[in-house]
Amino acid sequence: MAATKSKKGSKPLMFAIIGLTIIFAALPTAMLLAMGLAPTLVARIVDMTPGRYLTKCVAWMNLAGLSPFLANLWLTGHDMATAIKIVTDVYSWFIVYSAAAMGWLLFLGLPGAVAMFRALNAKRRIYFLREKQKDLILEWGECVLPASEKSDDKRTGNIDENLVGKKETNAAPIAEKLTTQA
Amino acid sequence: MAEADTSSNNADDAGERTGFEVVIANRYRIQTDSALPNLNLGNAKAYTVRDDKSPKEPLFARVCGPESIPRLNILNNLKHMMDANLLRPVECEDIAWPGGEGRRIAIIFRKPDHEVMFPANESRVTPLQPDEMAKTLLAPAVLTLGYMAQRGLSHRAIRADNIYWHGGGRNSILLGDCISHAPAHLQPVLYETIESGMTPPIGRGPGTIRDDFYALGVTVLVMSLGERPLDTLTDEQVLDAKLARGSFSALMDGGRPPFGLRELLRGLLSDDPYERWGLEQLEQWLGGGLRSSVQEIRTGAVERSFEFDGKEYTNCRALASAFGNNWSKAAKTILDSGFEKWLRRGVTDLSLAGRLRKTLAIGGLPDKEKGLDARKVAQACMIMDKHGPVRFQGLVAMPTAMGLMLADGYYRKNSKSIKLVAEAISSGAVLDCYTLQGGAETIIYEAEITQLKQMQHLLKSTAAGYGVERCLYMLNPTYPCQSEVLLGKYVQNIRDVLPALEEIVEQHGSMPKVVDRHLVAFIACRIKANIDKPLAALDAASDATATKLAMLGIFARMQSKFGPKNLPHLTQWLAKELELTVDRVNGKSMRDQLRDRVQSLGQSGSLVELQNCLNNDKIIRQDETARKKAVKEFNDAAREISQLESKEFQESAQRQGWRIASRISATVSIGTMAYVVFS
Repeated sequence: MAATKSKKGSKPLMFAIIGLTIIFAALPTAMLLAMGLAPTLVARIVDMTPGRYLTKCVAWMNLAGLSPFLANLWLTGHDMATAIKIVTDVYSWFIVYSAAAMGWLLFLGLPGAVAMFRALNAKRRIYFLREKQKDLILEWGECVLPASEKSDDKRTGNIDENLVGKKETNAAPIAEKLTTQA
Repeated sequence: MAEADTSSNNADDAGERTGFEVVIANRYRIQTDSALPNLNLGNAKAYTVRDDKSPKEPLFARVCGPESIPRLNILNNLKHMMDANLLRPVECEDIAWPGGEGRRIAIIFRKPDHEVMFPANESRVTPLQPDEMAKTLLAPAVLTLGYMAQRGLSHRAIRADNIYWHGGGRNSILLGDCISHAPAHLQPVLYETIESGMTPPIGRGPGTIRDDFYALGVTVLVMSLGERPLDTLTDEQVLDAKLARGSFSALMDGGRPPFGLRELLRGLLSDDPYERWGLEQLEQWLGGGLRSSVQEIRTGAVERSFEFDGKEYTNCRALASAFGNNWSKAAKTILDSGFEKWLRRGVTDLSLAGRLRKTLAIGGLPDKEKGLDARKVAQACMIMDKHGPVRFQGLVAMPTAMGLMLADGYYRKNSKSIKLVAEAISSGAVLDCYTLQGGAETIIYEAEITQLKQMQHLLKSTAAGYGVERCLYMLNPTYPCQSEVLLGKYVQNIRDVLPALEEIVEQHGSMPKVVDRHLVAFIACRIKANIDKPLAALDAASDATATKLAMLGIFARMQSKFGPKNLPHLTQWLAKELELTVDRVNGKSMRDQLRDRVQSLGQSGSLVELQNCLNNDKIIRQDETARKKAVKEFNDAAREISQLESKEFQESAQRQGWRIASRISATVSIGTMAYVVFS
């Protein structure tokens, strides 16, 4: 427990050390990242989903939008002038933030589509299963039903004239009910 | 089975039938309008018979009364004893007696040449001289008894009014009919040994050839005197006289034996069956070589008398008989010290008291206040009268007559008598008759002892196919099935059971009931195969359908063993009755398939195939396996439906959407970065 606490506590410290190292070692990159990864930071703050899927979606797309500008910075000498030029360019802001927005939209839109698709699949499967259950009841009568659903608890599989009658007469309404449900 | 030929005149329903002919074996015509009263015997009425193949042959038939228990077990033996001087049966069959009086047994005999030696309605005849006696009576009688002894049979109906003169000059005799009634059933006490005379007529049993020699001795005496000795006495008084004085002295009644017959009569009328003259001695006597005389022994005679139930007894056998007739009082008297003292001081057999004490002490000393139980009383009587009958709770019968007693009890619907016989067997009282007599008897009657032990086990079970009904058929191997299901049909042979049932179903459309204790016991006894499994199924059957199914198993076993191959009506009816058993199968497809098969088998007439179809464990097992599989499939489907309809499933769809969005984002990002780097 104590080890977990210390691990949790050391994570921000690690990010701070990495951030400070980048600031001191690569200030232009740090400036670009600080400006470009702002949507990711916001997403992280508002993300309440288990597994932090919002953060992940926004972060990946945010990085995708930022990557051409980072490449330009690193390929043109990695100086402050180029970094300031990029930061002050509205077009670059638009691209980076649009990419992040795309990530956010993906997070919001895709689960609904997936759920709808799966619901359709499930409905089809349930229909198939109910048809199968209906066939089983028609073939085997009440004896395949769970004990709680049987009309007569005395049923043991032995011959009983009353029961035989019930077996035949109860199977049909149950099967009909299943068809309606399906 | 013979049927009445109704093509003749109309029947007169009351009294003697007229104008009917009953045909036996497709050749012997019993003419019911031609009665022969002089040949009647007991309740067996005699009628003229015409043989289609030999019309001149003088034949007559004795039609047994409904209550008779004919000795059909010895019929075949007698039919083939060609050289014996015996009224030999020619043919025997059960017949439908005109007037709907049920089925009777008719036995056809050749008419004797002359009348009986001593007609029952006459009090005197011309006495026979000793030489004449030896030649005309004794020689043929000894020859015939010799033939019977070879086959292990006994006649048990030798008496002067059942022996016919035979031959042109009346120079020989024919021993009369001995099969139309139970053994010794018509014998007066005069002709019976003491032990046999103590029992009621139906309880005498087949006995042994030694009993026939005794009866022959009495016949010799009667014919030599030309009159019946002790004619004025009742049966009881005759028995008392024999007990008091011994048979020889009692029958002489103070007179002198006929000249030259003294030794013969002493030998034949000996009350000790092992001392009594037999074949060997008679042959020697007839040859003139034997003159030694048997000493008369009054078994169990005592010097002082003992009082029991207000009567003085000076004879152990008589006292044993009195104990048997009043067993509840005897139960206390036997334990009385006065009785033991009397046995020790008064009886000539010194070991008797010791043996009695030893036997009674087996299983713990009896309580004097409570008295002895019925079996112990029977044992005490047996020790006091070792050749005597079984005396159990008022039942008095020879051990070999238990079957006859049961059969008689069933005919008369006398449940008390049936219960007594069953108790006598199950308690071991009958078995004691053999075991208490010692080694020789145990060996001679080994088969009977084994059978009795088997019956003790059978009587423990109350299930159909066991119990007292089974004992009835075991003890009477030729007794017809008494089942009500057979609607009065005479079924003596197990091969006739299924054809009889087929006929009943054909006529009435159904059997009155499927299971009947008599029917099952009859089959179980006569089938000569192990049918314990179907009997156990019958016992375990909890409802009517299961019972019918178990009976089908028994019927199928009989059809496979005895045939006939085709029983269409019975099979069809059973198939219809058992259609419900198809519902034991849970699977509808298999059930429909089976139902179709049962319907088609109903037409086939094969009970065996119907049994294989309905009593097939393999099908039931397959169905059970398939049912379990179906239950699992149904439950799996239900579980999956419930999962698909759950809230968790909806949430998991959202989570999956996020996961997919995250992966798309990562892929796009990595692709873009790769493009930027490599371009």
